[in-house]
Amino acid sequence: MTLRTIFERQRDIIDYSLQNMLRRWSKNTLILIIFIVLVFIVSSVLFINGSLTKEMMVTSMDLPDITVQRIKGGRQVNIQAPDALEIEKIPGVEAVEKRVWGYFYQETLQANFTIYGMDLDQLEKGEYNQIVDWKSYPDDIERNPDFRMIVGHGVLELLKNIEMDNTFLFFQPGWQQLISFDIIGTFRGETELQSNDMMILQIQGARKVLELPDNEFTDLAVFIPNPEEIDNIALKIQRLFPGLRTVTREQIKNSYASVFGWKSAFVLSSLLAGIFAFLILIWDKASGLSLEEKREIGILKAVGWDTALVLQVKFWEGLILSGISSVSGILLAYAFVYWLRAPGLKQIFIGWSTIYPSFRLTPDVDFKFLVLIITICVVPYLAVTIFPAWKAAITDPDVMIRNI
Amino acid sequence: MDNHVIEIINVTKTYNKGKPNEVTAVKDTSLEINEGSLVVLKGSSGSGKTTLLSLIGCQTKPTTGEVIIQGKKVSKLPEKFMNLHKRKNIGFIFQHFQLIAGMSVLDNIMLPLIPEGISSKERYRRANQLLEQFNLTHRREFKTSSLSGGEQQRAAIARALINNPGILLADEPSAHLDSELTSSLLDHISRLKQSGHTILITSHDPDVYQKSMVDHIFEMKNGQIISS
Repeated sequence: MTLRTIFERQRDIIDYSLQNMLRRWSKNTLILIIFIVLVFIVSSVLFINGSLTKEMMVTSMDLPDITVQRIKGGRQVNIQAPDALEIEKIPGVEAVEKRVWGYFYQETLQANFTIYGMDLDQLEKGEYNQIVDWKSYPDDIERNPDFRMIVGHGVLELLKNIEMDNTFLFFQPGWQQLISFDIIGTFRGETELQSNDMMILQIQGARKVLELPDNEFTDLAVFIPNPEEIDNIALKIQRLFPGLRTVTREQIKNSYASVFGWKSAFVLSSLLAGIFAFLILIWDKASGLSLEEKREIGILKAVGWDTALVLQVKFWEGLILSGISSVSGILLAYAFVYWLRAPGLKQIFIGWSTIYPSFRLTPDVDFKFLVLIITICVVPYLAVTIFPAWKAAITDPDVMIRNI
Repeated sequence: MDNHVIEIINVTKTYNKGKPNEVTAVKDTSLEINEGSLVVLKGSSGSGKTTLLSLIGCQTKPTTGEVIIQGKKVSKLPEKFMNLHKRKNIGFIFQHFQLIAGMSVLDNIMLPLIPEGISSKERYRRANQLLEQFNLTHRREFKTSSLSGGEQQRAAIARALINNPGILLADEPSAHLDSELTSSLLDHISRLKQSGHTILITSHDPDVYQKSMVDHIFEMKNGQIISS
């Protein structure tokens, strides 16, 4: 048999397989839909996980090399300014930044805001200037420079609901008075994953809201130019200051990865019962040959088709159906996650307050994962469909046709 | 000198061997058929006619004994070679036609050519020729399930002849036809005989086996040939 003949025969077999599938369109459509839904669910979860992990990994590059916290009774407490001075003396440390941050719960909105204290004049002059949409105010209004803030997009949207999108009033039941802050800018959309629930307050004002004494800080950010030295310096800090805890950037990255991995596992486990039920349905529909299908295999054998040829037909049928399903499921998941922003599913993965970032997920498609998904869809399906066909095809056509 | 194109030597066929539903359909049977002859296997229902025809048509293998077709011991051949031999030499018309419902007449007729790797152009040429010969051209794109009994019968004959086999086997070809269609069928068979085909028909219909064109009649009972 020449190569051309083999090619033509293969084309005929594919033609026949397609005809076969069309003749059983209702059964095949049902399998196709179930299959697409399954692949769609698994792919969506894994796409979101991959993108968020990647996003976090990218943004983690801005994290300090080491974060230093003071621990007392197993809790994090404020850190003192002298600790920073001592750490700065350790050889290899380039700089130590004293940070002021915390959370503020706004009861009427039932939202938690992340508050960060910074020198906004420095921010306006520095590179971060580019990521903020600054507001301009009429010059004749007198404003206290210590009570200014920049907010994330999600915060601004919430504050609009209570008409505080120009000036926000902080209040806690124990306070004697309200603390009023002018909103002087909003973070741009591309930083939304980090900035959505964030309020960057002028540092003096932040201390008031967080009730942080002047000589105390939330934690310290330590910067080390040589990455090889990070672990050693973290160890040194722990030995020199037994009350301090160090967290390296690597540790934070690992914890992000495990959080998203855990969330993926959680979502998939929650859907496990459904996935399992779908699989049983596919198994049932695909693995059983009806009497009519058995008779057809008998006819093919009777008119001179070899077992191998019958199996090729079933192979192509299985490959076309599972291939179309897995590719469609993956494409739909891609559209759902990256175009529609995964409504309903993204919220499970991001944030823990009511302010969910509405940012667009950046596509992060791992081709190994795609190959894996297609393989786990196609190979078992082929096995499930080919095995009963093989059993029928090795039976004498006489027996199949006469149903002896 | 006799030119045996089909030889059956002491053939026994037992289905479901060793199982409670074991049944021996053909028992120690021998038979010889000359090239170009028209032979009828007659007998009542369950006498083993269809099984014997299936053995000759390579649709099943004997439990014991030998089936020799055109000098080749087909019962000993591996599946691939047996199928090759079957495609080249034997056309089989089944009792219930065994056309694939939902497929067009044309596609059904061309089915035996796919394993041969014959080009689509040649397949269409052969199929169209047979469709014309059996007056089915106007039905070529029809699903076989929408054909009348006679049309299905003709489509089944066309499929059996698509590979231009030397031997044609027909299992109860008149069982589902009225007398007019049976007469038309016998005309076709007569023409095929005249063109040199060896034909073996199973039938218990006197309209078939009493025809003058029949060269030989074998009668079967309880899986054995009792008269010839």
